[in-house]
Amino acid sequence: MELDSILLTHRLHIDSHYETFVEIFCNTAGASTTKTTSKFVLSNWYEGYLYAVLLGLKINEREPRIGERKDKAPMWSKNYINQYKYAVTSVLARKDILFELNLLSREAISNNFVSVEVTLNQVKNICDEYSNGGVKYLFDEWTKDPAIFNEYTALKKIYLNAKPK
Amino acid sequence: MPITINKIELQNWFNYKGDYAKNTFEFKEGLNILVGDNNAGKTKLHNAFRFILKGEVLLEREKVGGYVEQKIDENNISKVLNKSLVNRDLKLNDMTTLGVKLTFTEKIDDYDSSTFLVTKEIKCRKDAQNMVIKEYVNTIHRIDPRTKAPRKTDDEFEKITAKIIPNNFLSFFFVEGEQLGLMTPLEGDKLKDTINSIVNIGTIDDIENFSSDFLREANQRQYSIEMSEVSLSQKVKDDLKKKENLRALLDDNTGYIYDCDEKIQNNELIRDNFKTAFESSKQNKALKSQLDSILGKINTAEAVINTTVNKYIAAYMNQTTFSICKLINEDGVRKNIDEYIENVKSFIFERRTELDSKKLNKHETEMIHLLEKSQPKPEILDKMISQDWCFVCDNKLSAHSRDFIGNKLLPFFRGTLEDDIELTKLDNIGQMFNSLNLSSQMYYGIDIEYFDDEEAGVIEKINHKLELESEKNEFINKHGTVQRDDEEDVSLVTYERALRELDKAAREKERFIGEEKRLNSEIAEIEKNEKRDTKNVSPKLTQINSVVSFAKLLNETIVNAKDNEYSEFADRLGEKATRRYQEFMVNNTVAKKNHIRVQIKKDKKNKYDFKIDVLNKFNEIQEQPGGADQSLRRVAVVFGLLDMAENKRGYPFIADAPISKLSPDTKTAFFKSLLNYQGLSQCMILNMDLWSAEKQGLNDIGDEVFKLIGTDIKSRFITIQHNVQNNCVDINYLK
Repeated sequence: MELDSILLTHRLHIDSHYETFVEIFCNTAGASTTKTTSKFVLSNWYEGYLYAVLLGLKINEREPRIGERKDKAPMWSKNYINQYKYAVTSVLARKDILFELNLLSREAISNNFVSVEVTLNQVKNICDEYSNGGVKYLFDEWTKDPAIFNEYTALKKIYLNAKPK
Repeated sequence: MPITINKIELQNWFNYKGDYAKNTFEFKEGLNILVGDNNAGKTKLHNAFRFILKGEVLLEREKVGGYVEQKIDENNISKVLNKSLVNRDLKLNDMTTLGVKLTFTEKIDDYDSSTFLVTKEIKCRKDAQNMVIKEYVNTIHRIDPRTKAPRKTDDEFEKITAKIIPNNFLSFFFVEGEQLGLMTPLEGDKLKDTINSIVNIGTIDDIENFSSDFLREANQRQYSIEMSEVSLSQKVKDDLKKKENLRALLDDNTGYIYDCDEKIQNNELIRDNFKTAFESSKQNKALKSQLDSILGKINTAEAVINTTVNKYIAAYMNQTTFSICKLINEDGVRKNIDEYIENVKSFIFERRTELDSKKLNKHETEMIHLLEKSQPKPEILDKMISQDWCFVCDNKLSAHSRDFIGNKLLPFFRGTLEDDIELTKLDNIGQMFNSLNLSSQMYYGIDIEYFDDEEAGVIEKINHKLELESEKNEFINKHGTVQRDDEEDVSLVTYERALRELDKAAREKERFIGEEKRLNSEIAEIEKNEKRDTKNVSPKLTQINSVVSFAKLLNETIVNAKDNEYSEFADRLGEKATRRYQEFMVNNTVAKKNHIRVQIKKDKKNKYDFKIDVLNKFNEIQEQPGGADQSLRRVAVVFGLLDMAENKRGYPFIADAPISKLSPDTKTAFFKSLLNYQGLSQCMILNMDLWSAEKQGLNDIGDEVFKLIGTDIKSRFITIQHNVQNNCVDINYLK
């Protein structure tokens, strides 16, 4: 199975615990609906998810899933496949993750590796956890300053200022 | 016959909570001054008079604002009915009555008078949503002069209320200060009708109408006799007939010219009245369009900012830019991935070497080919290894043989050398990482400047918008917010239409004048060629000719007399009104020298109209709209007319805030003048000008006016105060 085909079978994850909060900086409902109260938002949750994964990676924050989304999440979008691959690459660039996935040594690979599909599914779950970690960070920042998203450079500033824990 | 209002009683009327007994105003036959603070209940009392006299109340219009006279119905009764009663006291389905009672006396002569009690009530019930009207009750009672007991009559309600102030006089005798200018006409037919009703100047009009009709009839008779004359030749008769037709056409044409004149006059009036409003509306509109243009630019700038910002934010995650990843120094990622790929490659290399070592060398290949015919099955070889026994030589396998069979012969015969699981795993992992690395490479490369450039673009656009904002603020500082006036379109449209109509009427008039000339010349031509045998004229024709001559003379004389009568009347009205006006303005050094001029205007059809102006000592017309001049001009003319009527018409004068625009001196003079004035049977002036909200009592002018009227037994001074504690109105008669 090709890499893209596998990634496109992944369901977009959004934790129900943060579903309401993320609407402050990301339009989660879809392009046809009106944007949220904040003016400067990402246009859909693929973007929000990727932003949260990269942020989670930057601050090294993984949060286990808290609750499943109420509605069944859509499959990953073709429009965001390259960006997703970038996120997956960034996850796989970490030795701890490689270790966790049994990819670090030849012996571990030989004994545990099943298939690319299984590995990518595991990576997807790790991405979801980093995404949760990123969203949690955003939530904490927003709790400190509710106007944090009201500036058009907000997402960039938050990203640059975020420090690894 | 002179009318005096004795009292008015209110029940649950606006803030007058409670029954009639609690809310009774008793009046004297002279001057009654009612004073009170804002919202005390003066205009509400005035509205009670309006309810009796006109069957309507003045209520604020919803949404659009302003006031309009309305009949009380289920939609507005909750505005009139006492709010405290509706909201607190009444329970669901409770009945209540809203009403006004008015008692007045009509003096028939020095010895006889009739007193009437007029009651207008609305019975209603409280519903879940609002008040439901159950019944409108209008009743008339006559008060027995001896027993003072009311006796219900079948008199027609409107007929009796019209006795107090007839409908056509309401705009003169029942006035609301703020709208005084609008409600008291000083031009046109309404003024003339009122003047005629008060002073009977119209009698001469009837005589003039009679003489005109008489002249017209005589002319027609003359024509028919001429046509029947045998002595006249057929040609003369034809000419006469033609001349008569031409005259009829000329008459019609004159009528058309008159219509044009009327149109011109009306539109000139509209043009003059709306000129100032038009100019200011035009200016306002031009300013508004300037402001709109700035606001439009601001909106565009805002839209541009939004688009740029949206584009900028979209670029964070865009397929081609994915600029958010440019914020990370991805060296670590690249290095680690490359390193890992190298590792996987080395794993693969190791495995391949291992596998290569299992492959047959040249000598071994040749040997296998030789053995091929009797090739042992892999299962047998497998069994040999597991039992560590050679089935060919029936001996224990040497280490070398076991290694050779296990590592070379078995993989060769099974064909698994090229399908190694570990190698496959490693290859898959290598491919996955290579593919991921390849995709991600398109985003590699630190590019923080990208954000800086984009941000600079947004900031530039925001600055442009700020410049426009400051331009807008400058404009507003200079010209104000240029609010849209609801009447702006009215003045623009009305004025421009008046100009168009004027132009059209002027062109039409020119055409009709041309036609008039043509008809006149045709008539002159016929008259020039008229050849009549004057010797054989019949006595009948001679007689009618004399009658026509007489009718012409009579008509001319009467028209002259009418001219004189009207001019004289205008002069007298001007004088009387001026006297009243100057009395009101006695303390105003400039305005007391002004005078009121009444002009008579006559059109082609001998129809008269009045025009009333206030002129200063240089005979310049004072036209300040809403100024004291204009306000008092109307009151002065009403009083002037009543002076001329010599007390024959005695209606009460009821005015709400008629003097709000005047100076304190003029206010005092106004009351003084009213006190000495005998033209009105009764005066009721509701105002807050004599009241001090701070003192909760009369102010200095109030004290002065109170002293003035305190000694007059025909006058009364009443104060109205809203009692917040008991939610009602306190009525006090000052002594």
